[in-house]
Amino acid sequence: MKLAVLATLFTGVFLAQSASAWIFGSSEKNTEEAQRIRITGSSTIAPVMLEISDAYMRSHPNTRIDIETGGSSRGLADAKMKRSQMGMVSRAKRTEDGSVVFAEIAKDGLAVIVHKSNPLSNISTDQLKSIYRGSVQNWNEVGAKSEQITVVSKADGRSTLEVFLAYTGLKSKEIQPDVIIGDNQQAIKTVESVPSSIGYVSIGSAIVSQEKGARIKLLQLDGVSATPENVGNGHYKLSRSLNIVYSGELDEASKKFLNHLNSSEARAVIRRMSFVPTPQ
Amino acid sequence: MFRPLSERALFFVFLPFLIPAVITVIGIFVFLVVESYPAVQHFGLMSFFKPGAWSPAGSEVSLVPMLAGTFACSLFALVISIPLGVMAAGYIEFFAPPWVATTLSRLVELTAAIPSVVYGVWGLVTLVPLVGKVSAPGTSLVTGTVVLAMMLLPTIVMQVRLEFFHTSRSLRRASVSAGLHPFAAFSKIHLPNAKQGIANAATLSFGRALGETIALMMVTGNVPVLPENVFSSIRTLTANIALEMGYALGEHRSALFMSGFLLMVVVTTVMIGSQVVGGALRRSQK
Repeated sequence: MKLAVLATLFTGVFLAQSASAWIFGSSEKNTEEAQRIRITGSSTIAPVMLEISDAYMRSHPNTRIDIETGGSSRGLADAKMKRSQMGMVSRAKRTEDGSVVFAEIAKDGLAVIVHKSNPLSNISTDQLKSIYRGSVQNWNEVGAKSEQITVVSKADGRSTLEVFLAYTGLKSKEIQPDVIIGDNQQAIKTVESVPSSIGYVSIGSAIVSQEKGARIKLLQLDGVSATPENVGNGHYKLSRSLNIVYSGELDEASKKFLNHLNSSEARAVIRRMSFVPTPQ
Repeated sequence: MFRPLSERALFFVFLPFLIPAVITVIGIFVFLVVESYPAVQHFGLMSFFKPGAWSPAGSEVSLVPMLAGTFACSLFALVISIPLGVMAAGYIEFFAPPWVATTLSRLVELTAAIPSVVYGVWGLVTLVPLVGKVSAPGTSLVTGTVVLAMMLLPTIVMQVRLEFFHTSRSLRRASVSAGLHPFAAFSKIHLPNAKQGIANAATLSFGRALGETIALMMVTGNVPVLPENVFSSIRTLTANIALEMGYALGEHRSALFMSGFLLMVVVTTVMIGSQVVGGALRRSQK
């Protein structure tokens, strides 16, 4: 039903656009002076980019930046196919990515989170593996009170899942989840609602939610606290790199904006969102 | 048959407004077939329909768990919301004092306007912990059923009430003057008379239930396995698309279009089936 409605809307918008273009002539002529930059991809990076681009557009009235989410895979595909100037990809470059250029803007850790009432404060990588593989099913086996563990994991294709799999060495099929969720916010809401659960989300999202009063707790991993500092100095190992990607030659406006991401202003925004800006 | 020229001209005036709707529906079907074809080629058509697991990264693409989840949740929700809705509509239309009826129907209209994501969040923070006390973790078929039933209820009440409202005044007066007890009049006359309308409300709600996405995605746990009992997690066909589409590439993406295609086929079948059944019902009444 929803799909049908969406498709109808799209068709409608498309028809309306082509009709107006036909009647009023191409609309592009009017906006020749304004430069448009389209950036698509990871929903982890998008909030940071939105904030940075808002400030940027105020100081550069001729530039218009559109940020759209849709996941790292989309960001990569869009940049490759030149459907956007730049993509947002929240994982490091792989060999199959070919000639696409990756510019790292920040690092983000994945925090292992449990409900606030859970007495546990530290978890080892081995325990984490056993829990997600299903060989440990009760909290008392890892030193907390006796209760069935609710394993919260992410849907196939999400970059947080891929980072988690790469770190633990588990395969997607090996994971025995009780709940599968989509984005970080949903994971946090689920862990809040189910006291026996364990999940993993972006440290940035976890800390921001916690400051807003979410009833979650970030566990230490192998004795290392999940903080932006520990991600930055490399002590906290469950982390990923946040990248801006593009293919081929960038236009002037995009180049300027990409350089701006390295400015102290932009880095302050990145830090405020609890990510760790990449050293210049 | 002869028609004046102006009338025939009207036909051509109105026709263009119909064409986009028809083209859109056909377009969606064609689009879904084209997009899901690579997955059919890669995995084989039957691998979507034999019982198994959904793990596109691991080359398993059985849609059976999602089909079962979608149907179980939608049917259970209807079983709850239809009787409740009919009784509520009956109360508003036949039994409640006018001011109560007005207040209630305004409230019902209001609940119909609540966006589904709000139902979802409410379900996640309130209902899930409650169900979790009976059987952890609480994200389950039964939670989804209750949330869905609540979402369907308002429109069912409104539709059935309208049906009751159209019951001819003379029929009402006749039942009063015949000295029928109000409840007897309701159960023996008004209810059977609204059979067709109730069936319509049920079909429309079933269609909505099959397509509901976000609220269910938040409360059902989304594990793609066949549910063992009402406390098992389910994943619906729509949640499958919503969870993975933004992140899928290649055959994985194409396999998701296959779940969209399957959903379209199911919804279309339900709608056509209800037309056939509805037609039979109408004939039997005459």
